[in-house]
Amino acid sequence: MRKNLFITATALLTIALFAVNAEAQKKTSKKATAQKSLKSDFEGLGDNEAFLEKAKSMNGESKARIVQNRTVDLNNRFEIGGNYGINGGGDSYVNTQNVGAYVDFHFNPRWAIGVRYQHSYNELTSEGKIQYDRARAAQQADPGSTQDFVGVDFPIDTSLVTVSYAPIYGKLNLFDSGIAHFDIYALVGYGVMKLDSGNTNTYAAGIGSGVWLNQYFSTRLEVRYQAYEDLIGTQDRKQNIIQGLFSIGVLL
Amino acid sequence: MMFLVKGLKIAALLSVVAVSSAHADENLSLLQSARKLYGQGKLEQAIEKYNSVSKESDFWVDAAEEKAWAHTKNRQYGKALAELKSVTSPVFIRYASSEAIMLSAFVDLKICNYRGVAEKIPLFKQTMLPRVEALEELVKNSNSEFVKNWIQKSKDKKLNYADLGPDVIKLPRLFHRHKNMTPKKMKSLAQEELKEISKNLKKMKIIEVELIHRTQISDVKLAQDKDLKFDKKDSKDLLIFPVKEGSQEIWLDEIGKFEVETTQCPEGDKI
Repeated sequence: MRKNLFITATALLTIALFAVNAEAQKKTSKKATAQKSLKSDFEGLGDNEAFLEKAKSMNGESKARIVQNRTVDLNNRFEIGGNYGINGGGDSYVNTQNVGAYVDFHFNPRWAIGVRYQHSYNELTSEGKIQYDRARAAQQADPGSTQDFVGVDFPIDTSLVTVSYAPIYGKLNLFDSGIAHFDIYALVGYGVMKLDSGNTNTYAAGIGSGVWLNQYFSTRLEVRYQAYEDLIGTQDRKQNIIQGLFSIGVLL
Repeated sequence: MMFLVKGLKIAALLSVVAVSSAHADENLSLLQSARKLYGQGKLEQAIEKYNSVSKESDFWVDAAEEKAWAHTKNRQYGKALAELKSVTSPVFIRYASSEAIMLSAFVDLKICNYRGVAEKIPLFKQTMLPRVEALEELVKNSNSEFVKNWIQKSKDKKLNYADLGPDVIKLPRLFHRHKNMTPKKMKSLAQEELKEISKNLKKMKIIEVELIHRTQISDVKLAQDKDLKFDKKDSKDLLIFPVKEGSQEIWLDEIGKFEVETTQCPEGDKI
């Protein structure tokens, strides 16, 4: 009797244990299913690549643009600065470098007027030096020598009044540390060039790029064509120069 | 499809806001005012308030997303997309909610911009799947060293998105705005977010089905006679740059500066 009771109790306990285990497994399975379900729910999303590609090839019904304010205000502002330039062209026996200053008044980001002044520093080219040295040597050897010194007429300084127009703008990524806006401008000018032989009118036209570093500082790179007349001996001579300029400015 | 445009649940949002109220922040109070106005149906006024939230603030992303909802409710889909372009940009996508991406896909569908929808579907998956994996791990193991470290950090100082770094995708959104965080609360937040992602995932699947249906029946060129034109901007102080379709390039100074021009769907395709 006791043995039967024991066997029955053991059987009942075993059945109970299995039942609990089955329930636990069911819960774990349900939990595992629930846990897995969100990740597995992503399967299928976006898998129909053929239709997605077809959709991407359809004309979009929207277009976007960026509209933003300039970071630097260029309305009714003065800009003063200094520049350094190198001439190309002009008198073929003279190399000229220029150091100057400018003042611009910006009516708005597009239009500006200004004045420019530059002082020129000249030296003979290597060919000019050769010619000069040859003539000097010939003169020293024979004071009656007909070997001529080179005739040069070099610029001393230039003053210009300019008008500039900036139709193109853009922005630069400055080494991932900031963004600067820039404008590309065209410029025309008229003024007076003082040469070794005297004053002459000069006309200028150029293009340049102004980079507005912040509200107060700017830099420019400009290429300018200038036309004038110099005097060699008694003869007027038309001259053209191309000047490359680098400027640093302060916005007031 | 109207069930997708229920809009924000203001009560749920206010609960998050209330917990953060100890962090006295002008931008937070602007956001709260905006949400209140939104809840009252004063959408234009709410948008004005949202516009006042500073871009430097962490709340700017929330403001942009909620503004998108306000524009959507106002049926100004171009403006909604313009806001969402910033929110779903590579700069902010880590901080965006699943709802933001879903809304973007929905608005694209609403205006029949099927290309946009086709781009948002993989974006949702790429963005949310790693989050789901991380959050499910957090739910399983909310007492991990990783969770405890972040709880301690949030107690040591007021955290912002920048402090979270790349771990932002492994943590429940906005957990750092809650005071007295515990592993249990973290787990609860993770579970809530998983529910939200699940809800939005279902909506994305519906959008995908609708997209497939539309692409099967629509012509390749929709509204080909219409030439999308932006309003002319007269001011010389404005810089305008076109955005190339599908371009992922984004400049930080362009965030929040998008304008989007859209057309309406052809009659038969409206939802």
